[in-house]
Amino acid sequence: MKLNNTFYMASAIIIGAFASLLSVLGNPLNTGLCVSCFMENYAGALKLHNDIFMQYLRPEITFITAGSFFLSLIRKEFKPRLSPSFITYFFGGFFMIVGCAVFIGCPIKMLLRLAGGDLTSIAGIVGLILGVYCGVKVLKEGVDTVSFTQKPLNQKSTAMILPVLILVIGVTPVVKDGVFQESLSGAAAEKAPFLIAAILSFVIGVISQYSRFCVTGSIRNSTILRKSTGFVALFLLIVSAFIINVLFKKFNFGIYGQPGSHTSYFWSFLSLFLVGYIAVLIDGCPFRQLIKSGEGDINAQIAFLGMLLGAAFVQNFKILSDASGPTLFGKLGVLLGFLIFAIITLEARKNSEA
Amino acid sequence: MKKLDYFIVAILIASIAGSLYYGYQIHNTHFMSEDLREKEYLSMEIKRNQLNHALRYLKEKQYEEAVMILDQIGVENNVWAKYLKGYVFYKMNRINEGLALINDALKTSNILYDVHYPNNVRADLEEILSFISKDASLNQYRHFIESKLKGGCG
Repeated sequence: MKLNNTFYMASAIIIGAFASLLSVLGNPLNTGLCVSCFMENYAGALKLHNDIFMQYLRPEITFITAGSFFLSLIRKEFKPRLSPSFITYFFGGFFMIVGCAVFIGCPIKMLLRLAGGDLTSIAGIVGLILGVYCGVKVLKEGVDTVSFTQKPLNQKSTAMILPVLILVIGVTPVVKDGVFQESLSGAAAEKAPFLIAAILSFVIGVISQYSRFCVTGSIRNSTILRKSTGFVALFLLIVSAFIINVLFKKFNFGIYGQPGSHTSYFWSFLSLFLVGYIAVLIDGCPFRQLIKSGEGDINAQIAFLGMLLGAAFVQNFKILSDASGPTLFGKLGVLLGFLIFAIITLEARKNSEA
Repeated sequence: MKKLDYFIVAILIASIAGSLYYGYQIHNTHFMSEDLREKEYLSMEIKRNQLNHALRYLKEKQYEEAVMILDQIGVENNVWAKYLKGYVFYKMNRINEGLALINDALKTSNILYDVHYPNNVRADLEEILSFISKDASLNQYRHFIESKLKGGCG
């Protein structure tokens, strides 16, 4: 157990350091690793949205999933599993991306923003912690466990389709150029060299599959189960990213002028509250969904597809924020997320009483 | 029903009310169905002579004349004219008016990345930023412009 805790914390340090390095090597500032931003780039590359500044087949998405996929095969942990509430996972993936787009970043980027000196991310951190806390409270008070309990499936080949597809799509640009869209300028044009990004992401995928690292999972364990490992791991992730930022002069402390951020604290709080709450219900933040997709978790694969569609929607309909704050569609998107997940929760609680 | 259920129902009602409110605001907002980028590019090409004319006036510090030309183009129809008018206003020391127009132009279209614009938007913004960074009342604009210049998502 002690070894597991040590490895969990070590993996947080590596993820923080590698993510910051990716930013130093060319990924956008404070965005060395952001599953939601990269899903938007990924959706753009697949021509699912038309924002010409957000189209790039990010190798991070491909190789994090691949790392998890290969290690789970080697460790014989590739276990296809599914729970009946898969539609919850689909909308969970969708609205997690909406929440992340309104905050401007997934939970990992939230920590990277703080490590880069961006104080505006604190509102999001408070929101995420409270969201996770409320989610766990709801689960503890009782929900329909049958719907959320995963059962093993004897469909190994079916569970391999998505990870293999992600890998094939991800390596296609190496073999044949021009198949997918690629931005020449804007956020998606800021990128680390392909090979380095692929290697670092693969390592992140491998260690995260082994350690089961998850930002919302860490918060859940620390707030409810009173295990300090989670918060310590997140702190170490911030520290390792902070050290890289300071070493490469990327640290910029303050509120104003931070890259990829806004000062609408209320919406930062609310959007990541939604992400934290959903992440508890569907068992993992966007990053964890990638890892679990590679492990054969079909619910996570459905969440991945939900995230992909969400990424296309947020760019096509501008359900997001820019530096001036959230758009009208962004605010509406977050509220619809709350509406839908309040309905899902009420029904799950009603079924548990029955 | 338990306390928790009442709490969830309260969130449900609040989110319905909020969704209706923002839904109504969206209903009252005008959206264009055509691709803005193409429209902006065509608009830029059609009005290029006039824009260059305005730019010449700007370089010669004849700001009133530049504004007259930009008004003829119509800032609502041309994001470049809107940006340029904002910059001219800034030069005329009408700082807030100018920054509001520049912000609006940057939000409408990411002109920072466009290669067709004859003037260097990035250099202009760097110049504006170094000026407004000293004034705390302009922090909102400072954040927007600085964040845009640094790039990244959002």
